[in-house]
Amino acid sequence: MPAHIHEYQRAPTVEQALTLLERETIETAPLTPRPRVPDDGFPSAAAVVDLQALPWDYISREPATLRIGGNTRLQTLVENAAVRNVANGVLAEAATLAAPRTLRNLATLAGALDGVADGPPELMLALLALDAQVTVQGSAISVIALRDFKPLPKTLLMEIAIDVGVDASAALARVARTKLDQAIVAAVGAVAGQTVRVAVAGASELPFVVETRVDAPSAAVIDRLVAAVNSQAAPVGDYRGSVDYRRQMAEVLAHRALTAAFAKGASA
Amino acid sequence: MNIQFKLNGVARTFACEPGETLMSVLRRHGVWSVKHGCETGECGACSVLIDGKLTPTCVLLAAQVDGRSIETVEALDRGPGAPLHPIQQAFAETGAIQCGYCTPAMVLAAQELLGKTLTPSDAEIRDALGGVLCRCTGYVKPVEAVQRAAAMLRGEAVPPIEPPGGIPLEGFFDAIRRSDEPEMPGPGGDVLTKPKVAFFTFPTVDTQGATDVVGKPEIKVDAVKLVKGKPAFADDIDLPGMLHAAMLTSPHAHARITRIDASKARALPGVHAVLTYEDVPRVIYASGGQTWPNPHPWDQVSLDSKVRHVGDRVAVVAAESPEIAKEALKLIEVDYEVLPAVFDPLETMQPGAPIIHDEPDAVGIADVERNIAVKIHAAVGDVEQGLAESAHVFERTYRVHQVQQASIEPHIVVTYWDEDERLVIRTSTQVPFHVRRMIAPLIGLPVKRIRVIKPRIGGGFGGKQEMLIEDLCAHLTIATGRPVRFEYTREQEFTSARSRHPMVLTFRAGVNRDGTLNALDLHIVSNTGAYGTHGLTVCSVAGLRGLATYRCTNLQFTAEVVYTNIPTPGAFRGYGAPQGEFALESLMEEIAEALNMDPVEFRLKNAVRSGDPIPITAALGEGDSGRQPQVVQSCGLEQCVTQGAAAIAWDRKGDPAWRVDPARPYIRRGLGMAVCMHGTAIPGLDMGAASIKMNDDGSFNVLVGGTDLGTGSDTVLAQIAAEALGAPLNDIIIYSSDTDFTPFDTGAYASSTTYISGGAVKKAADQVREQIFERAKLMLHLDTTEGLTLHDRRVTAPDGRSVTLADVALHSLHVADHRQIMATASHMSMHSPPPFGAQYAEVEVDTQTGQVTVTKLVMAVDCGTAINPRTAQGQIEGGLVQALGYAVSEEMVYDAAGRSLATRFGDYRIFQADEVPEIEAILVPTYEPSGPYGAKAVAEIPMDGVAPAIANAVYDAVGVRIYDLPLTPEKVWRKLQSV
Repeated sequence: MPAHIHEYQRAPTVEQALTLLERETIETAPLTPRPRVPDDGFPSAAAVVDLQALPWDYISREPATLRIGGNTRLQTLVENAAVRNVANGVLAEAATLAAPRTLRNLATLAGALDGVADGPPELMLALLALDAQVTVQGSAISVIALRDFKPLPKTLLMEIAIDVGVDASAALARVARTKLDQAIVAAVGAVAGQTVRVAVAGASELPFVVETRVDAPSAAVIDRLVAAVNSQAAPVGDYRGSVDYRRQMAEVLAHRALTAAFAKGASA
Repeated sequence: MNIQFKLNGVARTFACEPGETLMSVLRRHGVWSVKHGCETGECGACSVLIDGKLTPTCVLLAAQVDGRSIETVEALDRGPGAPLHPIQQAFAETGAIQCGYCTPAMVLAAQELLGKTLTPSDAEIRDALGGVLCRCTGYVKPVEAVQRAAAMLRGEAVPPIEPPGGIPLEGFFDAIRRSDEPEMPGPGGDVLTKPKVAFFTFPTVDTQGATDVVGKPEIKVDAVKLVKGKPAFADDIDLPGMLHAAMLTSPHAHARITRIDASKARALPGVHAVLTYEDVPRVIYASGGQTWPNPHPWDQVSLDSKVRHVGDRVAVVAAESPEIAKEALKLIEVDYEVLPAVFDPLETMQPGAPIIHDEPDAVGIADVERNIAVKIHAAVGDVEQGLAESAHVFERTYRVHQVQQASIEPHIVVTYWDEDERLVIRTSTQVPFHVRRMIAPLIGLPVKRIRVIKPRIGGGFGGKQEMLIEDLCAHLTIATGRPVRFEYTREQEFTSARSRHPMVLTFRAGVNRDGTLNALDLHIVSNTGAYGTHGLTVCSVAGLRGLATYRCTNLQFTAEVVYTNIPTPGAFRGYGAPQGEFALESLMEEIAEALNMDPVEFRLKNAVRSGDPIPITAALGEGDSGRQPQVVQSCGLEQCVTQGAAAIAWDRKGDPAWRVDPARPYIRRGLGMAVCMHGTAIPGLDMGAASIKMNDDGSFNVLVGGTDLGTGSDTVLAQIAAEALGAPLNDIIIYSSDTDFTPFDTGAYASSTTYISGGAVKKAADQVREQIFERAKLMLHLDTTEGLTLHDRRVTAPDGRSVTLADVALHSLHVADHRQIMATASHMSMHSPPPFGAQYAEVEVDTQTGQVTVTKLVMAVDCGTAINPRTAQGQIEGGLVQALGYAVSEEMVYDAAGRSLATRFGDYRIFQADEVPEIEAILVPTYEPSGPYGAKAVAEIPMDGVAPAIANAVYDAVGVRIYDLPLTPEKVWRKLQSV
């Protein structure tokens, strides 16, 4: 039991949530359930703010945009038809890989993105590859590219938006000890119109994405992106994969994901 | 703060702390079905339905569910004796319950799924169960249970679960060894509702028309309470005034405590005791739960001034809450003199390596200066001469790694003084009688003032064949006079409990030109970590298993069991056999290939058969014990090989098209196999006892010291009693194990329970049966008991007259010549009949990443008579998945300072339901003449051959041979790069 937590607040509004988080009299942290729960289970702060009452549990399909609230449970992403229809289902597949059912019922989209540093990366990769935008509530509301997003104290992730105006094709590739184990290295490739991206995790401290234009035959484009992945990779080795192995796998899996994404696009 | 939520349909208000977890609140209010297995939500045992969705409660604050609706498995309980909910019924009928610790969460997972669809696919079922880790079943039968429950909820009639059973014909297998061997019948019918669960059928003995209970897939005797989530486990108790213990552990791999000051911790309000090495007597012992006198070395004390691994014991605290106890740990001041540490088993023997056990009072260490705890040598024939005379000599070295038992229920003990001022130890242990004897000198109480109660165990797998934490908890009760509860965290399970010994194994094999094995030499360096518990015996078994499977006249085994500064290994299902068999079966494959022989043919050419001696058993036992020459009296190995090959479609090895996947050109497929044999109990050493008494209604109490750790042994023992007593299983009330009330048993290890404890039950039941016949003779005015039969609760005379068991009981207890019909018997055997098995693996290897994906596992097992084929199959299925983890994903890893890097599920990867391969378990019945109703062991052999079968399959797929486990992606990839 986390005895250090002396105060629990369920914020009914965003404003109240931010007010609580901004207090200087007591260290306060939001409860954003992650698919990989931290080793200690809960934030280390003495006070916690529960965000479940905020109206951020939604999936909204607009003509050219898919909007997903930050409080949306990962299992909802797995089951939602609109999500499953995006980019060959890569978002739903990524959400499935984030955690087993029990933790998907608990964890939220915001929690998954907050915890990506040591958590399952596929959802972040899929969103990066699809060039998602993120809406962040701090002292003001800001909309930024997910690739530029870094979780900051006293800010809350409200929404993710994905441009679905152009049909994208995407594919995921990964290596792990078992089928559903956390990936050692993973990559998601996506082709949307004339833009192609590949997002890679396990080859640097945090996931990254590279992109280019489809201005040459796919093989050449893939080679160019894989080279970019290689140059951007700065792996941190651990017991599941050495630096060298991770670097090599980043290339292999980026190539594989991009090849599959192009193939799906072609077959569509 | 007060919160409100609906609990099982009733709106309730609960007082809780802001930081209290939902799991804590629920258990504090008696919702015992919610189980603690970890602190990170990854095991799922604590999960409940929150607004209909299965969610772990250890990672939720109770306040987070204010206003929500909670459902636990208690909601399904329709009351004593009432029919079970269909989901629970299906779990009980299909054998989906083994230890039962995860069962409530699994039932709720099924409920969540079936609330959405009554026609779930296999993938949907596995996904629904995916968040609930089960270490026992391999998920085969839970998936079947959900399918069956769905059918029941759809209103369909489900078929009875009735496999072909009975007792195999004695001697049948001896007959098939002759050249005029008869044609074997084909695979038999299905045991359950799944077509992949198969039996190989044989003629059965017609003892009473047919066996009534033995050989039948009876529902486990503990199924109802487990599926209802009743308070059956050690932690499911709340005693007035109970304190909570916490343990301070070493942050250093090797250090001397130069100062320890617990005064601030003792001063913390709510703290009742803090114990360090300065506060408890220094009594040398070995913690392995083994027969007296415990094998050397004796190198432990309850608390020491030296620590020998990260996670080693430093101090314990008892306080009024777990939180206060943890706070107190932070207040204990410890100064360490950090010493050099050594982790490699070969380096530790080199000059200059730090000496780990330099204390003067340790007993029986083989070579203190070289950190060698134990040396072993055993030989038969002349191995050097044998090698010299062989046409081919092979030498290979293999490395196997350290893995953890990872039972979902952590180590848990509650100690308290009873009204007679005797110390009661309620503990999750496989060895209650050993715990009572071993703890007595440590806590300064005579055995007669100690009572050990073993409730249900939430999985053990050898990890609880240990007196691991009982001594510390008892010390705290003695210090405080209060009940104390002590439970490991999941992290402590990885840092401070036991595990499987890592080993370096070097085989030399001499083979004649015709492929006959002529010499086998095995040398092992076994890493026993900080302490030597089980070091001698596990290593001995590795040697036994490495040198027993094949006929060979020149055998030698040498070993050093060495200390290092890793957490201490101990007993783990297989007990050395998985290590030895990985090396042996990898080697056999290489030899066959080098000789251009079919690997299956090569194995069968050399494998032992019925009537063969096992020469190494005369020279090597389990340490100093169990050295008894053995002869194989029953052997179904050939049938295992044949049936397994058919099930895996072994002939695909010759099909190049099957090996590739055009859609995934980087994938290569392969098949591999291994044969294995295990032992059944320690001959001349393991002993079990049983008492049986008859009640007024003709039912029987069966009291056994044997310990059911989830394997179903209570059920099996009850079936043996029922069979002998002509009673249905539900007339047997079995109780195990309580040192005050049940007779002695060495405990649940060495695959001994069915054979040894079952032998005791059979003997006691036979005696009771004779007493029943005597009473029936009296009642029927007969001159003799000859010709009486006992069947279907009735004793029948040759002339057709009969009396019921209830008549017999009432007459004996109340009418004439009053006496209690009862008997006690004990059983020990000089035999250790080997079960045999053939294991097959189908794999896909990603040639670009090195990832090995096992797509199918098959095991055919000769376990003699399967007393309960359903529980026997469950043992195989669960063992296969544990062994799969050993082969590919599980590994205890450390940083350079000896700190564990995998201290939670997830990082330590055990398989979940939605990623296990197809599993097929085949029972090949034989009749073991020395076993009760022909039975021998089944529990451990499934662990033995999976790793080599997978390694051989990887070789078959991509042509690289891996000599060290586990087969991780990078390891395979690197090997692929090197060829």
